[in-house]
Amino acid sequence: MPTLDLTSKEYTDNPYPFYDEIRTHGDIVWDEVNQVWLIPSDRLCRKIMSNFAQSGMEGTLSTELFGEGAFIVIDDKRRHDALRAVWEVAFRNTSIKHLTGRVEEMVDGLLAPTVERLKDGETVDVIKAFCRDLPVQVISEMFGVSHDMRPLITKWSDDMMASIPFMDQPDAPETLAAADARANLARFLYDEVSSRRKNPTDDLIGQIVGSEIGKTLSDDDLMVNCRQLLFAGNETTARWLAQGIFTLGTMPDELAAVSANPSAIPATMEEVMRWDSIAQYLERRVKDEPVELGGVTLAPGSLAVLLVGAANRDPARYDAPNEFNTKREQKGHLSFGFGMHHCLGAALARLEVAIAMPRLLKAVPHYVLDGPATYSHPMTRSPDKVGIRLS
Amino acid sequence: MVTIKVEDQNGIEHVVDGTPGVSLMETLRDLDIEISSVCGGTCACGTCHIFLKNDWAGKLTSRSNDEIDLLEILPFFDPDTSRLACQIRLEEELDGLECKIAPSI
Repeated sequence: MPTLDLTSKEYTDNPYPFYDEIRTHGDIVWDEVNQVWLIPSDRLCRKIMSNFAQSGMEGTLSTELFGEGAFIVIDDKRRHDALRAVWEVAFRNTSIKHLTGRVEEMVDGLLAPTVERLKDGETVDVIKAFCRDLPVQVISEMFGVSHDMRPLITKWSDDMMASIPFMDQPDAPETLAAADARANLARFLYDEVSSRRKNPTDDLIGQIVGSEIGKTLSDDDLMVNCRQLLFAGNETTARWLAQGIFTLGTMPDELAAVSANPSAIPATMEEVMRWDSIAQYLERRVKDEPVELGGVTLAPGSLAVLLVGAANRDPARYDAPNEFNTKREQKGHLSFGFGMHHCLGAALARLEVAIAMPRLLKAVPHYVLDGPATYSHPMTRSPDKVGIRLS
Repeated sequence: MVTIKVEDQNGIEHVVDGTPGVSLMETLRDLDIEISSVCGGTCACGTCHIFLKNDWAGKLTSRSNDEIDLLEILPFFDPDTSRLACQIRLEEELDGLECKIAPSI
């Protein structure tokens, strides 16, 4: 019987053989052991992601992580869109492009000491030195919060992220640390919200506090919405950068090709995201009515695990899907989601990556990895550490 | 060049020139005509919703499954005229295209 232990070390280390096996059983597969539907198909993942009326986020990991009032988990489209619309303008391409100069300065500020250390012959973990802090700097500035808070924001976000595999273990150290992190982040944001009430600002916190819908929200709801955005705005981009640097490090020919041709960087980074997605799986719970999907009936209340990492390698959508091919036709992967809950910060993530990667590869066109990757997070995949040195 | 007539969300009509090969969404965005595109034109978010006017719907290539999935969940979805602007690539044959940007909700 097909089954997938999403908490196993083997899955975390390399989920792809598991996906290939599950796919042999069909596009949607009942996992009797874990009592969930597994969906490795791109088409069916898109179907269920866009069917928010019948399958939602209630009772999923995301709701536990972000809190019920956060728009990222609200299935009522009108309410979701009204909340999301407060920030949508700030995250549109047209708005994001105005951040270019500032992001360039931040990248240069982080890159200079990193390159210096590499030139001194040091092996540098680029996650710590470069990737992790860039999105924190960007989103902190957009939030209008003090730069002094960046290390704490990073720690709280990392603690929340690290707890995801342990959410069903209330006494696990990771769960307890995440509860502390959520509470600390909440206290910090309550103060920020209160400050914006007294002194209105046009940063992201000020925008929601001053908006029409914001004026109807409780402090709790304002806080959870700010917390989800702050968290989401700094985690994925850091991991995407790390994943890109690591992946190219394992493929010297690809690294040489893209270093020599920076115009190929966007397509290369999209292929990184397709081939080894940061988001490996998402959950949706069927609401009150049965859902027909891929020839089976999902009972009310049942949990569907959308295997995004598998869908991004679905042979029905991609030729030779397990091959890393930067020249493949761009079809749109699922790593930023699809439909109503598509990542609000996708354009910002792409801007940061489009600025950071060319500058890194110009400064360090040839590097070698310090060793193989280890992975500790099954749901959000990227190497724990990316040590590089000059070749 | 490809001339497009676009009605914005305030009902104001703009006549603009686009470049063949560029998407309608990118064309409008680059001309600072207000159109949302959270995903950046990858047919993933459904925010660049437009309505085609005056029989133009029948002259365009048909919608992909991805586009249909996104359109069908939109509050102002019109089965005949709704499209995502990121999925319309301007070509010489589309000279004179007329559309309206769907309301925000």
